[in-house]
Amino acid sequence: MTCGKICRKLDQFLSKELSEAELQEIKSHLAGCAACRSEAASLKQWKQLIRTAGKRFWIKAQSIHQLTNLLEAAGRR
Amino acid sequence: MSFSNRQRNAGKEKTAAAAKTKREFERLALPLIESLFNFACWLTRNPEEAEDLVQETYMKAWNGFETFRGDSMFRTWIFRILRNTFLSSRKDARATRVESLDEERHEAYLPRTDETPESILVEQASLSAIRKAVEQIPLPMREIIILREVEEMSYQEISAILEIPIGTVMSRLARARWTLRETTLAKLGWPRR
Repeated sequence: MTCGKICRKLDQFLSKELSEAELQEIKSHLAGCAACRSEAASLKQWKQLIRTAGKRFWIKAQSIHQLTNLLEAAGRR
Repeated sequence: MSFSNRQRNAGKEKTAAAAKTKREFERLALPLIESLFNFACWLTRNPEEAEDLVQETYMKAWNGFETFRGDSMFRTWIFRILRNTFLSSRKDARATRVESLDEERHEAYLPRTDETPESILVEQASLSAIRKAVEQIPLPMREIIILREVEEMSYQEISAILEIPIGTVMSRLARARWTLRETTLAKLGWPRR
């Protein structure tokens, strides 16, 4: 695989959504290519930051209670 | 067995089956409430509206639970209901109020943290910029970013929720990630490339 193709697959590589053969191929490419390794490290860090920033809202306990009551009532009908 | 006994037994079996269905629904649906609410907040950009959206989603999911055949993951199914409910509400009332997700106003919805003031200061500068950028990017980019990066969904799941081919998931995600990065950097005062 070329560097361009590797970079397009980095996201799936990080989440292990590729076949074992592709995972191994990318792994060995990264071992020998500093540019792709740096791309992978920066993508990993960026994803982590988005995850932390994106987990932002927590529902109020009162709303969960209200919802379970509604489901309870719907279940009785 | 007499007719009335058979009727009583049939009634008991029906009640037991309904209770089992309800337990199964709750087992699958309730652990997803925080994720659904977070996603709803990012879609609506209004926590009060997000609460209504989540409630409507649960009621729709419960009413349609018998049609859920288990050929997709429950999570995919209920996220798709939430998104479709949101999209139809937008179609019905395009003028719905959209607020900025101002942190002070919605303090009750924000998580508490035990980190040190220094680490918060360093991290919050960029986290706050990322949040503002996520708010700002177009809806198709915002939703795919949340599903992939926050909910850690596979391309397959995202494709099923957004009802688009996997190739489109890949290209839209790449574009969304790039746009988000550029918007965040601009918010932090870095020049655009």
